[in-house]
Amino acid sequence: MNRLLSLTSLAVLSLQSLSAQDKILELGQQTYQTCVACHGPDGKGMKAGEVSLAPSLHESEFVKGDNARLLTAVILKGILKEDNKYLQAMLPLEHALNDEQIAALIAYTTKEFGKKRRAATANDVAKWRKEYADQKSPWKRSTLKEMISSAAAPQLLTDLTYSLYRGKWKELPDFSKLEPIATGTLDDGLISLDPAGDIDSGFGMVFEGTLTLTEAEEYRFSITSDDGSAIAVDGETVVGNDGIHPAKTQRMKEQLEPGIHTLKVLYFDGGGKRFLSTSIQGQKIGKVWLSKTKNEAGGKSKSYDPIPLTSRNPGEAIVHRAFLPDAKPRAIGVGYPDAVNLVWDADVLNLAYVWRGDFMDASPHWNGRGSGSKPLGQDRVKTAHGLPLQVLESLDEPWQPFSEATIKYERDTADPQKDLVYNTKHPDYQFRGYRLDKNRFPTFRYDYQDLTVTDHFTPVEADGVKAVQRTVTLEGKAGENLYLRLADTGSQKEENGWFDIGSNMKIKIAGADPITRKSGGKNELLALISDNSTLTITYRWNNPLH
Amino acid sequence: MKPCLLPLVTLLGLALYPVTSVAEEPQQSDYYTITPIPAPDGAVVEGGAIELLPDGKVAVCTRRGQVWTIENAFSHPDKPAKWTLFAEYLHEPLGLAWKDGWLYAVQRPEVTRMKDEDGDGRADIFETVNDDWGINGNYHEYTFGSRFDDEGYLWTTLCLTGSFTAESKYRGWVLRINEEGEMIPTASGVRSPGGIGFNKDGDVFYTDNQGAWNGSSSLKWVKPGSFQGNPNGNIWYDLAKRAGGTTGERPVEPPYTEEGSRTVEQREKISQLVPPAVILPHQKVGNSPTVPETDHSGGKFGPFDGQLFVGEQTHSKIHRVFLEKVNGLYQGAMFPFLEGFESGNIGVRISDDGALFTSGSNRGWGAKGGKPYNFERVNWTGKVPFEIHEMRATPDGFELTFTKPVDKATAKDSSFKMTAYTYIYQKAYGSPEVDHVEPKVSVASVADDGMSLKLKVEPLTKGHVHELHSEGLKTSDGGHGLLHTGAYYTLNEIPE
Repeated sequence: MNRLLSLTSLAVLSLQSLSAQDKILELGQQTYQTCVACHGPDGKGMKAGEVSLAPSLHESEFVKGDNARLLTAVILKGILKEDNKYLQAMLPLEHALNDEQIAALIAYTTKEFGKKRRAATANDVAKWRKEYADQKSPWKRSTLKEMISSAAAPQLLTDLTYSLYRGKWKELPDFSKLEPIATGTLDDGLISLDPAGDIDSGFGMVFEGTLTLTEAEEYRFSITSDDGSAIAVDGETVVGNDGIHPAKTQRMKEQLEPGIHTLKVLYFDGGGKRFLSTSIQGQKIGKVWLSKTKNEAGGKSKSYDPIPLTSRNPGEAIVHRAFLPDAKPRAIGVGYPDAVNLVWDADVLNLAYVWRGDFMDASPHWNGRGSGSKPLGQDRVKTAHGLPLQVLESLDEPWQPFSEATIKYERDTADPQKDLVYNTKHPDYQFRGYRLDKNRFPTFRYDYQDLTVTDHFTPVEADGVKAVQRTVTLEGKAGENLYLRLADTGSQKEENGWFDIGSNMKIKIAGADPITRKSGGKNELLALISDNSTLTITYRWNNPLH
Repeated sequence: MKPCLLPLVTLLGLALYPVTSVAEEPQQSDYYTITPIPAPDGAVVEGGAIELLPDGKVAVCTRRGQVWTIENAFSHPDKPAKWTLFAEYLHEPLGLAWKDGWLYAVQRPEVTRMKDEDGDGRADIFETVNDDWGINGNYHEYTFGSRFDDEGYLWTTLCLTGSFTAESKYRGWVLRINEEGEMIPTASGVRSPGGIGFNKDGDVFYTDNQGAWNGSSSLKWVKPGSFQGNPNGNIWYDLAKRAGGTTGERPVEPPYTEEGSRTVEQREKISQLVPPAVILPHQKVGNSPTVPETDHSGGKFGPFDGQLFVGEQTHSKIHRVFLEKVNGLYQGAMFPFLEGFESGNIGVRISDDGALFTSGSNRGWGAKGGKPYNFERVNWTGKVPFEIHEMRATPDGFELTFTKPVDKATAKDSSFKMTAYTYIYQKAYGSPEVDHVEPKVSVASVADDGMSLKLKVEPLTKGHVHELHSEGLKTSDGGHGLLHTGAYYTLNEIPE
């Protein structure tokens, strides 16, 4: 041991360049003498032959990392010796060092060995000492690994400030016109209602910080609050969660570039419980909490009160244009009386699916920035989604359901030469819109080459079960070998003219000869089209709606 | 504040006017009244665009996809407004235009024209006029539309995919479409528009919001064939040319460097780059400009006939814009105009008899007004506010004209203060104000009738916003100061 101590004094001499004024680093350097025996004066770990007494602090994730709290946890509790990788265990120092010494030790080691000085105050250490009071034994390495990875996310939010306001509001006020009763900084980069102390009603807070991102991608912001809140990035509101309500979560995706963004979180409490948590999620960073409170109050994912769409007058249909699932963006939802519904896709000029029961919840479409509506009900059946017509020179030719093109995308961000595959209109087709009849039932119209096509649907009863009857008229010259595709699912076994298309549904075709074929591993049901033809297709579930 | 003004003015020895006129500092409501026209019970009227119909009704389309027609919108509340639902469940329409018996709506996916054939007040024909652009399901891919121009074209402007890319066809473009459905890709370089309309001469202008390649929000001139500054949409250039677009060669790329550049420099290198006509300094005057609308009322909306009025969503305001053309480019000044609307104004429409309608929403993007949506009418009271009427560039400064004569005693150097600055033209989001210049402002001459004056400004900086504050100026007609003392002139070109 004597030899080690003499090395220590050499180290002290070599570090005289430290600013004499910097009392904290000075104290840290003194405190580090406790560690020198194992970690070495240069922090590289003392060798005993081939083996080290302790790891190099230059490689330490705790020292290099950005989490003074975890470094404190290690200093306080030490690390168990679970193998022979190092000769020594890391001893708990919680009784050997006071808060000030630990804070100084963090400053010194992170600056000298971690290359970047981390700030922790004696008060921070005191707080963390309390937080870890229940930890009675040294840490297992596996536990520490978990702690690191959960804390590994770099501090995304820096220079975080808060302003605290008093007032009685029903929605977020214009804080810029109000005078805060207190302002301050949150050095751990975590948004927290703590600065409001015991105020439990009638206050507001504005948090403002710098959000540093390294990847260009779509980030998902989430904010849960009781009562109202909002997140603004670079001055634009990304998520709004305003109004008086119990803890409620709102989420929104936002494409952001690498670099520095301003993040602002607004919050008010009108009374009752108070709650605020917020997170950001990305491919690379995973989900990172931006708030000290790290849950979404029960993790409820339902964010909006439903807005079920119902017809204005009995017997009328609803024609609803919105982003809808399992269809291209030009989707049109139609809700008919008698609880049958469908999506007609104006991108591919065809029926996409039918279902029974309630029609549509517009709440995701009509809240926030609008992500599209959600079909309700049950028994959804997909019906050969994709372009409806194609000339097949032989029945071996595969169907081309979608029209896509590729363009070289020289974008100005991370991935300069990405080829972009985009959805494009098929040159043979043009959507012409729709007409509503007296019951507001739409008749869709489109052109295909020289044909004018209409597509109309009406609820009917077939064999005692509610069904959808579809009428397709094709006006003009069809040419040779033109087919309409009606199904690409199910066994398509025929019985009394009814073809089984799976999903508990059968369809019947009148006005053209149905043809079944196997193509691309699927069964396809086609109809050969002649000039000026009208087809009637009935879609019938196998049992009544429960 | 107001009670304090009196002793202060007296102390400064400027109390040359009857005390009563000084004490009563005018305010917006003396000149313009804002009348909310409440939506019917249960209706959510998040206005996207407004159009006037030939039968005296006003139409508004909403972000929820409804189209309402309103009777008595001009006379409410004397004759209460009567709302009728003309159409609903369209896909977030942000443009509305009446032409030859059809009401055209610019929806996200297409231009649609609608008609009520059976006369029950509800549209039953929905014809797709043109849908030759891409949408991929991203909320940011908005489509804004103008009314028809004199040549029969309706202009649309297509928001980028997300904030930064153009991942669907013609994102970042301005397209014009006629009633036959013919479409001409007309200009590229758009980022995130808020509306598109015409100036008094029928030239097309749109607003673009602060973000990548937009240091600040601004009003931009859609010169056919121009490049508006954001290069992402230029990937569609070849396609646009093949489609018969009035576009020449694809613009060369602006520098993608970290330090960025300046628009005034890049204009020398990118021939198609048209600089913003009028920058609306971000945060200072607003956050989210929307539609530009010209006053054609011939003075029924106050003394600003022929000027442009621009909606502002975040600040719940309406801006006023004076435009002039210097060396072939539009430029001009933005003046703060009206504030205190109930929500974030998106649609703005001025009738020929001088009523301004506005409607908007705070959904997704907050607005100062605080209400989720609004439909409001503005009328001029007939009293003329003391305002800078026009601000023109001269070879050595600016000429200001006024709505009322200035008191010549106050038309002195110390009444004016100017700062000039520009923004970084860069791929990063937004920009601080940079390259500040503090020019010396002096009064060169005042017209005999006090209705105009010339300012000498040293130096003038090409490409800079010249922000003028005329705090000390008073009118001889009542003794009060300007209702709005700020003016923000974008000096793209210095006249010779």
